[in-house]
Amino acid sequence: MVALEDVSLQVEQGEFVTLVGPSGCGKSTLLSMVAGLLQPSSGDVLIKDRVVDGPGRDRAMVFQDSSLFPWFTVLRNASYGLYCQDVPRKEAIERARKVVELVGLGSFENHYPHELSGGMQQRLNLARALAVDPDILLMDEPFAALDPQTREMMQAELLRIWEPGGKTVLFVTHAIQEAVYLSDRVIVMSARPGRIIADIPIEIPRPRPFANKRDKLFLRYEDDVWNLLTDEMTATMQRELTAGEPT
Amino acid sequence: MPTLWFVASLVVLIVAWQAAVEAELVSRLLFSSPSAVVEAAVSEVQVSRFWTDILATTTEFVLGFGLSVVVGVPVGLILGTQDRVRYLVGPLVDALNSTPQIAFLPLVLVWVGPTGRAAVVIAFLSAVAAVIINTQDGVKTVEPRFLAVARSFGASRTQTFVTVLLPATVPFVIAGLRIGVGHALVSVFVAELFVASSGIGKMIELAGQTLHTERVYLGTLVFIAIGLALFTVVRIVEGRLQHWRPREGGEL
Amino acid sequence: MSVDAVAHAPPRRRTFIQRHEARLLSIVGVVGFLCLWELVVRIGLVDESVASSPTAIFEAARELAASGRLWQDTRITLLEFGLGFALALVFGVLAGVVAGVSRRGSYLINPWLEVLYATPLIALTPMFILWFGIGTTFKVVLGALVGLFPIAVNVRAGVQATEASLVTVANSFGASRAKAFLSVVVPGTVPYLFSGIHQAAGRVLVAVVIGELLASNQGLGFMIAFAGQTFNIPNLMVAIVVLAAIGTLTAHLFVALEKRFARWRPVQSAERRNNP
Repeated sequence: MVALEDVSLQVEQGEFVTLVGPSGCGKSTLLSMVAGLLQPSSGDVLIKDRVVDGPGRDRAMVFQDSSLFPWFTVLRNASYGLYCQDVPRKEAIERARKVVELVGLGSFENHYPHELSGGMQQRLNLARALAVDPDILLMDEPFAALDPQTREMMQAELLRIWEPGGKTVLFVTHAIQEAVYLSDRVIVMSARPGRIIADIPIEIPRPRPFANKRDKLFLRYEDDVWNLLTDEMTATMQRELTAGEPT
Repeated sequence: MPTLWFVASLVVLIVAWQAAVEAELVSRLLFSSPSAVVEAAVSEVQVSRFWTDILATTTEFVLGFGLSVVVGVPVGLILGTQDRVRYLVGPLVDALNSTPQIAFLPLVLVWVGPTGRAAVVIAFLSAVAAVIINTQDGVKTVEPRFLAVARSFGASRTQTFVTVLLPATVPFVIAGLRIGVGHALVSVFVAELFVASSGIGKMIELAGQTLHTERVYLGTLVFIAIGLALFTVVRIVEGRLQHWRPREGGEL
Repeated sequence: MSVDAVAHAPPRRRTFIQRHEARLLSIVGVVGFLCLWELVVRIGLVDESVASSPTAIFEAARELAASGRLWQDTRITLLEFGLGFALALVFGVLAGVVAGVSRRGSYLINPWLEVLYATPLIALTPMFILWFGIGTTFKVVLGALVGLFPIAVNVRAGVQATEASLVTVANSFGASRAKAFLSVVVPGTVPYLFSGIHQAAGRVLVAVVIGELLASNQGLGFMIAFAGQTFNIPNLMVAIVVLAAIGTLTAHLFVALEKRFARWRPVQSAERRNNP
């Protein structure tokens, strides 16, 4: 079974690139390959001209459903990546503290994940990834489990936190509006086996207030992506219904 | 309110019991009476032999159960992480777990003789299977998403073991310990009754043979009290080790 | 960064050995254990008179089976187990349903249920022997008591769990209380019932064996005790093996039943293992 077919993608340092596509199109697979958690069966992933063959300090992943460790406090969770890199404890706690402040959880350092709301948990998720100061942030539908209002707030928060830093972001989502709002480029993928159908630069200046979402230009981008996707989504739905099992 | 009902119904039962015995409705020999039990309690508490018996039972339990934890948890961790070892040894552990381990008591007696040591061994055997299997299950059911997180941050095998596997397994280990405590306790009791060499069981057995029925009742109550005390200790330990868990049905 | 890739799911061509690795190793483990045992006894590392050997046990089993003694004692144990378990089931379900359904009933039953569930009821064995004397009765009563509480507690939990949300749904479709109970609560409680039965079965068997060890002249427990006293280790082991078989078969039976009757609910692995 082929998950990704012939995908070729270039991303510049500091770009915010989002992958959208129907379920099963392989966008998460692609993300995992960049993260070094999966190996491509042919071809490779190059970062600054070096081949990726495993996880590394230049990349950090923000997972979907908060995969925060329930048995660690907010601070300990945030410092986890640093712990794995054998950073001395004091320094790790200090750096973790700074990121926890940055994402707005400063007063919750010693709380446990189950005491946090969904939005707060995703902030912690983000903090954990930022703490190791990666060049590239890989985000796999981080806001999917949030209610719509929290989700929009978190989109704005993400931009606020990301903009000054210059990090590269590879973001995966189902929500077209989210993709257009956040990104410099939106990559549209086909149904399985995934191919890249379109690579759309989003020429809306930053910073982007919420009001943008009602802008004519914004809506046009949304439309374009939606139209590209409709065919793919119909194909997927057909396949699902005739095959007798969900993709 | 429920506690009130419970206490009230308990009191009613005790009074009814006393009344039935006094009115000669039931045999004093078979049923003794609350007053006789209390008298026996008062006199026993002052005798050192009574406390030695309690100490013996508790020691046998602690040794047997303690050993089962010291052996069982590491073995469970190994079986949980090493698939091949689990395939090899697993069926034997399962067989031990499915058998009423108390059945090994006469065999244990042949091996170590009719002493308190037999109680320790049988307690160990009874508890160790449950501890191993629950620990093993805990390791096997660690959620893959946590392991994925550890991998993505480049955690080494040791780091993953310490920060993911161990904490995730704790609830299961506790469950195994709870079951093990029950088994070990019962085994100690039965061993003592069978051999009558030490502990509360000995006290009950001797009392039964000399028709001191009230001491049989007393011994039973003492044993139940020890059992409840031990269960409470396990509860407390469980609470300390799991303060990160949400109360009542929260999501992990 | 640049990505230039194709991704496939890994091919599934594995050899016969790889596919059946688990089962093969398990067989090797058991057979190996028996062979090791036989070897260790043959070369005298362990004294045969205390450990017996697989061949001796097999011989003893054949003799006991042929003479009918094995079946006699096994039958008694199975009988006591069956009766005790049946009583536990009837009264456990009754108590659990009442405690789950009726508010007043639950006030009355719950405190006792909680306390007695947590108490090591085997402690009552000497008292029972006193009251009922040596014989089948005290074992059946002890077994029934020991098995009753896990069943009651689980059934109560099942009834309570289903009552709340599902009955609302049934009512919204206009079902009467009785209909709602039968069509919603009963099927919904089944998985809980089976979980309780699973717990109870192990406990009842243990209670019966304990009774036979301590105060009986029949049954597998008695056979073990007697064999122990007469240092007849092979016979002792035969009885243990039969008990192990009974225990394993009932455990597997209940897991299978759980799977069958609670098909819509995943059987958690830790639940399976809670075989007290």
